Amino acid sequence: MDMTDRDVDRAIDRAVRSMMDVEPAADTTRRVLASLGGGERRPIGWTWAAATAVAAILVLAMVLMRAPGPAQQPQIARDRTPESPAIAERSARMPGDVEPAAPPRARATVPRRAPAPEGHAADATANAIPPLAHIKPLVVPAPAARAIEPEAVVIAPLAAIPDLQVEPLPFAPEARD
Amino acid sequence: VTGTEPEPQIDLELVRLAQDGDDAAFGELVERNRRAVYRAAYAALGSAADADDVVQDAFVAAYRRLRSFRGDSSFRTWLLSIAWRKAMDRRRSVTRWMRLTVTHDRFAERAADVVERVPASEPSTDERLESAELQRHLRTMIATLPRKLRDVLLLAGSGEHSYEEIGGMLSIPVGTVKWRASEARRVLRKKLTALGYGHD
Repeated sequence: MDMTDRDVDRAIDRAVRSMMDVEPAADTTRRVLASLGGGERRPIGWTWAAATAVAAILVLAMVLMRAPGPAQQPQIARDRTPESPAIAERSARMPGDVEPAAPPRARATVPRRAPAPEGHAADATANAIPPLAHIKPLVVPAPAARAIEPEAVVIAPLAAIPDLQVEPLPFAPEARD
Repeated sequence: VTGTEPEPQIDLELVRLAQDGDDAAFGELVERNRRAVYRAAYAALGSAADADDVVQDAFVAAYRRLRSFRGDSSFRTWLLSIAWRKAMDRRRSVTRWMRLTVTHDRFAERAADVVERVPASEPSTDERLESAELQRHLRTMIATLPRKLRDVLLLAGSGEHSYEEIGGMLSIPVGTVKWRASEARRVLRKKLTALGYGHD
């Protein structure tokens, strides 16, 4: 379709006019005046106020529920005291020292925690892992006894050490200063 | 005071009365300027409901700041600046953005409604130029213009705002307003040409 620039401009004007052919609500003035007097509050204000109040209550409840128990803080402090052997050993070690090999852990034989008190028994039961169906016992052959027979140790005599020959210094020590 | 023509002197007199506590005078100011404020908000937001909210917010804010109005500019320009800031706040609001992502583009939605009202055209030259199809293309193109260009084009085409008022509203020089309006038209012309309208 062949159109001049003027035709196109007219078409644009018409499109814009029709897009902007809108009128405000008839009761705009009444609503504005009512808002000034505080008689009419828009629902969005109440929504925000209610949402803020609910959020504040939730935060307060969470803070109260998560208040630290009396045993937690001392536990942390005790772990960090210098009397702890591991920490004391680390503190005494100088930078650059070789890290000593860690002693073998005895997880299977030494319990890390004391048994849970009565109140925790129900939780422990609920979280218990079901036992495996069947595990065959390990069979370890009895060690054979062997006598220790060390080889004979022969100590060779030291060779004679020759006398040290020290040459005299080229200048007198008092002449250095 | 009667009449709805934008007469700065009448507005100024009403402002003085309202500053002295005359709510009826402020009501008259609302009545005289509500269409201009509404169309400005609508140009920014493309939603009748959002524009209504902005109109109310803008007038309430203007009432509360009325004592700070010194008359450096016309009341209408001052009021439109407040309304435009409110509209921009709403345009940037997260809740509105989320609402629009799950609904249609408001301008495009309304554009489709208006196209339905355009009478069927016969193949005479003038009517063919502004056929429903061309108008539909144009509305879609306008709705997808960059915001800075679209704002100025719609404000200027609303029949309510002069270039000076638009400059005051957007806090930009009048020359920039004119350039943006011209650039918007240039972009639209180029797109129309690509669609087979106009000429190269």
